[in-house]
Amino acid sequence: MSQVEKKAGLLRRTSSSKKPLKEKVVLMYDEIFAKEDPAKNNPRFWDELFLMKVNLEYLESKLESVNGEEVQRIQDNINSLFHHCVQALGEEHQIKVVNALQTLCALFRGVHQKNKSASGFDIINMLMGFDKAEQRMKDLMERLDSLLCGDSSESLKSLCLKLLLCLVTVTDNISQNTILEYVMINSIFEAILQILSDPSSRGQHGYDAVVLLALLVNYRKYESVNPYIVKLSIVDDEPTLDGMGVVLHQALTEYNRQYKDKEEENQGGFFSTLTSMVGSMFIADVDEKLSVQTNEAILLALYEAVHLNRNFITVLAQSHPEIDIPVSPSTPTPTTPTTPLGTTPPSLDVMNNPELPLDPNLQTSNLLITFLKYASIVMQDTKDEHRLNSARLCLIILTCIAEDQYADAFLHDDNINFRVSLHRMPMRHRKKAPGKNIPSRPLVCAVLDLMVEFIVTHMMKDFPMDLYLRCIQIIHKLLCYQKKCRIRLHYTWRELWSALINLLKFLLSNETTLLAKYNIFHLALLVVNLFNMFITYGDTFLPTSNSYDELYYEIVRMHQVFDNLYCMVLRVSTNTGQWKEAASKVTHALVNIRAIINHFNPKIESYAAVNHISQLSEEQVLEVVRSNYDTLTLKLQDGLDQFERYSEQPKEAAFFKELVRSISLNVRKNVSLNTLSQDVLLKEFSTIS
Amino acid sequence: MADPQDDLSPARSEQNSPSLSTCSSPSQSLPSTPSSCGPPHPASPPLGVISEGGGKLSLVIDAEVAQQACQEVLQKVKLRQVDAGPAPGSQHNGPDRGAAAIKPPQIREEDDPEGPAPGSVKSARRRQRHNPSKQSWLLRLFESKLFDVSMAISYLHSSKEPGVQAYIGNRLFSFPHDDVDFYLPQLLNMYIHMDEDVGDAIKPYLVGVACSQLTCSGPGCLLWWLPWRRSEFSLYRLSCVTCPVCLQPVRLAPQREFMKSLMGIGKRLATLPTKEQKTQRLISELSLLNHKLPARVWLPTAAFDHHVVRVPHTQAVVLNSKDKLPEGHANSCDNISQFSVDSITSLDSKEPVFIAAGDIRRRLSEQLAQAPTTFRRDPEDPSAVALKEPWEEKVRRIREGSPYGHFPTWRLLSVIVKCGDDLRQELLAFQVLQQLKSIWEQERVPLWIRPYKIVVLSADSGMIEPVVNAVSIHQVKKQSQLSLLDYFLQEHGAPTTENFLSAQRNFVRSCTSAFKLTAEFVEVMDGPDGDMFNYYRMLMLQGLIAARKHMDRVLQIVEIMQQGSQLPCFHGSSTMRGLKERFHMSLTEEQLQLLVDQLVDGSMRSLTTKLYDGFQYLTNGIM
Repeated sequence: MSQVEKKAGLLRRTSSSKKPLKEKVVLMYDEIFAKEDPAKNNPRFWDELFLMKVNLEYLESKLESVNGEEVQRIQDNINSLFHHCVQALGEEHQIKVVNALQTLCALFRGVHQKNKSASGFDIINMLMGFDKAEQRMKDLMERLDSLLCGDSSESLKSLCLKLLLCLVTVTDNISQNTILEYVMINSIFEAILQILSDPSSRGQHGYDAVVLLALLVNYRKYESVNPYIVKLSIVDDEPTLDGMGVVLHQALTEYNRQYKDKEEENQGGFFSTLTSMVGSMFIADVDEKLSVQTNEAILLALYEAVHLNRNFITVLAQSHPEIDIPVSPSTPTPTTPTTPLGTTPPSLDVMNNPELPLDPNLQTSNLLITFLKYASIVMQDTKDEHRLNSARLCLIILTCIAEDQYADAFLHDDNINFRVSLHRMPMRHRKKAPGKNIPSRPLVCAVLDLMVEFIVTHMMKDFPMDLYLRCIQIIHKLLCYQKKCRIRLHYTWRELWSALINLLKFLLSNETTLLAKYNIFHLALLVVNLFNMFITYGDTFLPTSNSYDELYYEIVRMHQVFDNLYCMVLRVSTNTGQWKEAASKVTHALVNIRAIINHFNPKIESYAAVNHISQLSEEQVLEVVRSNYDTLTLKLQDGLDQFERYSEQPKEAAFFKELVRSISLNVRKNVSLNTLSQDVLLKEFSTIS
Repeated sequence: MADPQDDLSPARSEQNSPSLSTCSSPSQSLPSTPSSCGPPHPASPPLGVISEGGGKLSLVIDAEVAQQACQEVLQKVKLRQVDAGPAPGSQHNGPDRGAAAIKPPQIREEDDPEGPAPGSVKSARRRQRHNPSKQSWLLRLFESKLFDVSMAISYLHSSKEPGVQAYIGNRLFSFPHDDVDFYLPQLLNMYIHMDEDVGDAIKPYLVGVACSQLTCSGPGCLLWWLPWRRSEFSLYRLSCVTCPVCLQPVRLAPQREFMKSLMGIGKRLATLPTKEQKTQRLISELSLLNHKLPARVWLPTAAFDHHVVRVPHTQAVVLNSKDKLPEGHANSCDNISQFSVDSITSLDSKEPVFIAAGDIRRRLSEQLAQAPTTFRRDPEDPSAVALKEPWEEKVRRIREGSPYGHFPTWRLLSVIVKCGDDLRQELLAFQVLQQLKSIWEQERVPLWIRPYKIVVLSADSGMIEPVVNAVSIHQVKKQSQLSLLDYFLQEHGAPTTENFLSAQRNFVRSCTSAFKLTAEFVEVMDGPDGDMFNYYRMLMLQGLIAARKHMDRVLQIVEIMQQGSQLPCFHGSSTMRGLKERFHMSLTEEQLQLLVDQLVDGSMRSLTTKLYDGFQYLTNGIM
C-alpha cells in the first residue's frame, strides 16, 4: 500500500516537472475555457473527460484566473461542464461518478474563490445558467440522494458527502450561499438520516453526515423557514436519533481520549513531578501541548439536536459501554481504506457488535457523561477564542438540558448512577484529584460538580462573565426542578455554597476593574438568589435537616463577605449612576441573609462569652443555630423559583453566526486538504470493476 | 374446526397489526386459548392430533373420527383381542398417515405382574380382571364429568395400556388448556423418560402446545427450554419434524433470541465485581435490547397473550443474592407527595410576607421523617427501593413515560431473570404450591399462598414472575430497622384499625401456608396466646386436612418428575416416601390436631420450619 502511494507520488512529481508535456485532462480543461464548444469537434468529449483523472488544482486555478469579460464568453461551456457533471453522476461507471463529483467540487470552489464579492445569483448564473439552475440543482440533489441511499460503494458515498460539505462551506457565511436555497428545496435530509440510522454507514460517514446536518440547519436560521430545522425537530425514529447520538458520542470520546493521551504524555514519571513542582513556570508550555483542537462542529450538532428535537433528550442518557478504550493498533481495515478523503475520526462502532465486550473494567457510559467530560476539558482553558466558544456552547447545551423536564428526570433518577470523572485543572493550591474515589451518583451530581469546578477555577482578570452567568443559571434551573419535584439530592451542597461565596468575594475585590466591563450586580443577584432558594425552599429539596443548619453555618461563618457586598451595593444604589437600579436589586435580595447574620451572630457571641470559649467549634455553632431558629423571621421573596427560559433568538443569534462561520472555515479547510488524494479511490474502483 | 390451516398460521395474519405496551397486549385476533393446533375446547370435546408429515396436508384429525377410533380400540381391548387394530391417532383423514404421530399400540396382556401402578389404577385393574366389561367402566370414568386432568395424568403415568394412553393423549385436548398446561413439565418428562407408547400418546399434545406458541405466550415455551435430559435434542427434532408448515424455527427465532439475550445479560453481569457496575451494565444492555423492540417476543411468565414492546431499562434493578435481573422494577424517588401543601405561594400583594425560619427547618425534618414509606436508597441493595414502590404507582409512572402507554391494552409486566441457578427444583416447588393452593381453594380453606411462577430456560437459568407489591421480610427488617410488628404498625396503622387487622389476618393466612414461623411472626399474631395465633393453629390444621384429602394430586406431580431426574432433591430413594409421610395419612383428625400443636410449638422453638425438607423453597418470597 505504502509502496503504491510512493510510486504514485513519484509519478506525479515527474509529470509536473516536465512542464511542456501537459496531461490530457489539462488540455481538455483548456478546451473548456476556450470559446468554442468542446464537443463540437469531438462528440465524445464529455465522455472522455470523466474518464480522466481530475486535476483539481488546475481546474480551480483556471476558474480563478478567469476575468470578468471572459466569464461571459465561457459561461456556456462552464454551464455545459456542470450539466455533464450532473449527468455523469448517473453513470454506471463508478470512475466517471467519482470524477464528476470531484469536478463539481472544483467548480463550486473555483467559482466562489474567484467571485468572493459577487452576489449569489451571479455565481449561480455562471455555474448553471439562471434558466436551468433549478433543474440542474434538482437533478444534482436527486442524484446525490440516490447515491447516498443506494448501495453504491462507501467511498463514493463518502465523496458525495464531501461534495455537499464543500458546497455548504464554500462561503464564509453560510447564509450568503445562495446555492443552498436549492438544497433547501431539494432536501437531502432523509439521506442523512438514513446514513445515521444504519450502523455500518453510520460508522463510516456518520461524522460527515452529522456535521453536514448541523451546517444545513444553520442556513438562514433566523431569516427564513429552514426545512432542515423543521424536519430535525420532528424526527422521532429511535434508531436514527440513537445513531446520531452514537456518532456524537464517538467524536467526543475520541477528543477526550486524545486529550488524555496528551496529558499522560506530559506527565511521564519524574518529569511530571518536576513540572507540577515548578508549576506555573511552565504552565503556558504545558497548555500548548495539551490543547487538542476542539471540535465545534460536533458540539454544534449536539446543540441543534438537543435544542431542536425533544426526542433526542432520551438519547443523551442512552447508555453505551465506554468506547474510549484504546483501539488496538493491529486492527487493519481491509474492506475499505478508511475514509480516503475523510475528516472522519477513526472510530469503532459499538452497535456493530451484537455481543458487548466482556471486559469487567469497562465503564458504561452515555452521551451525557462523555459530553460532561468533554466540557470539563474544554472549560479548563477559555483564553483561546475557539475554546471560549466551545465552553460557551457547552454551557448553552447544559442550559437546554437543565430546562428539559425529561432530562431532569433522568439526571435525578436514583436508579441511573454513574461515576463521572471530570477533568480538573491542575492548580497550585490543590492536588490532582485521584479519579478512583468518585462515588457513583445520579448524573445531576456530575453536572453540579462541573459547575462548581467552573466557578472555582475561573476567577481571573479576564473574567468570563457570560460563562459565569450561564453557569449560575444552570444551577438555578436544576434547583427549581428539585424544588418542584421535591427531590432530595444527596449532594455536598457545602462545596457549592463556599464556591458561590468565594465568587462574591472575587467580585468585591475586583469591583473597579470588572465594573468597567460588566454588570457585576446581575451576577451577584443571581448568586444571592441561589442562597435565597436554599434559605426559603430548603425544606423541599435538602437531603437532611442537618444540611439546613450547615447552610446557616456557612452564611454566618462567611458573614464578612455578605456584609461587604451589602455595603458595596448600598453605596452604589444610593449614588446616581448606571448601576443604581441593578445594585438596589441586590440590596433587596440580601435581606434574608442579613437577617440570618444579624440574628445568629450575637447569639453565637454570647454563647462564646457565656461558655468562655474563644473559638467555637463547628458543632457548637450548629448547636446555637439549631436552638435559635424560632426567633428568626424571614421575608418571602417573589419569583425565586422562576427563570427565564432559554431562547436562541435574539440573544444568541450573533454568537451562533460567528460560530458557524468559524466551523465553516474549519470544515472547508479539512475537506480540501484531503480531497486530492484520489489514488486510493481509483485503485479501489479498478479492482471492483 | 373448519380449516386447520387457518388454525396453524394465525400468526402470519397478525403480524402487521402493531403490538403494544411494555410487555403487553393481547388485542389481536388471536384465539384466547393457547390452542392453535388443537380445536377450541369449550364445546364438545373433540380430539385433535397433529401429524408429523410435511406438506400442506390437514394436520388435525376430525374429532368424531378420532373419538370413534378410540372407542373402537377400547372395545377391542375389552374383547381381549390380542392384536391391535389401528390406533386412534393413526385414523387420519389426511393422506399423510404414513408418518403417523401415534404408532399402532401394542396391547399387552393384562396380568402383567410387575405393574407398579399406585392404588387407584391397580384397583381398577383388579376390577378389570374380574369384570368382563371393565374397560367400558374405565371408559365411563374417562368420559364422566369427574374425570379431570389430574386423573388423566395419573392414568397416563400409571397405565400401561397403549390404548388407554392413546385415548388420554387425545383426551388432553379436551381439557381446559390452562389445566393441562399446568402439567406440562410432567407431560414432558413422561415423553422423554417413559416408553415409546406414552411418548407417542403425549406427543400430539406437546406438538399442539408447541404450535400454539406461534400465536401466544402460552406456557408452551417450556417445551423449548426445558432442559431435561435429552430434551433439547428431542424437542428440536419435534419442532423440525412436525411443523414445517408453520415455519416454526423461523417464527420462534425472535423469542429464542430474546430469551438468549436476557440470559446473556445475566451471565455477563456475573463477571462484574460490584453491584453498582452490574446495575449500570444492566441498564445499558437493556437499552440496547430496546433497539430490537417491539418484536414478536413475549415473557413466558405471563399468563396472557402479549408482545413485548419496550423494556423500561432504567427501571431495572439487580437483585440481591446471585445475579438476577428483574425488569419493570422502578426506583422510587420522593414522588409520593403526601404533603402537597405548598405553604409558600407567592402572593401578588405588595405586603411583605413573613415566614419563620423555624418553620422551614421544622417542615424539613418533618417531611424527612414523614417519608418512611420509601426506603433509603442503598447502592448495594438497589432492589429494595424498587420493590417497595406500590405496583400501581409504578405502572402509572412507567405508563406515563412510555411511548406505548396510550394504547388501551398496554400492560406492565415484571420478571426476574435468574442466571446461574437450576430452577427446575423451584419449578417443582411452584407446582406443588400451586396444587396446594387449588386444593385449599377447592376446600375453602382461607389460606393465602402466592407461588412464584417459574419458567425454566436452561439448566442454569430461568425466569421468575415476581410478586408485585412485595418486599422480602429480610429487606423490610434491614431497611426499616424495625421489628416486623412495628413495621406492620407503621405501615398499616394502630392495632385496632381495620387496616391493621386485615393485614394481620392476611399475614396469618400466608404464614400458615408457608409453614414458616419465627418468634417475630408470632409477635405480629398477637403473641403465643393471642386469638390470631389460635387462628393460625386452626388454619394450619384445616390446611393439612385438606392437603391430606387430595394428597394424590400433590404426590403425583413429584412422582412423575422423579423419573430420570437428576435433581438433588431426588437424591436417595426416600423422597417420595418422606413426602408421603408428611401428610400423616395414618392419623385421625384429633391426632392430627395434636400434631399441629406440636409442630407449631416445635417450630416456635426451632424458629424456622419447613414442612418439605426435601425442597429448597424460595420461601423468603412466598408471603
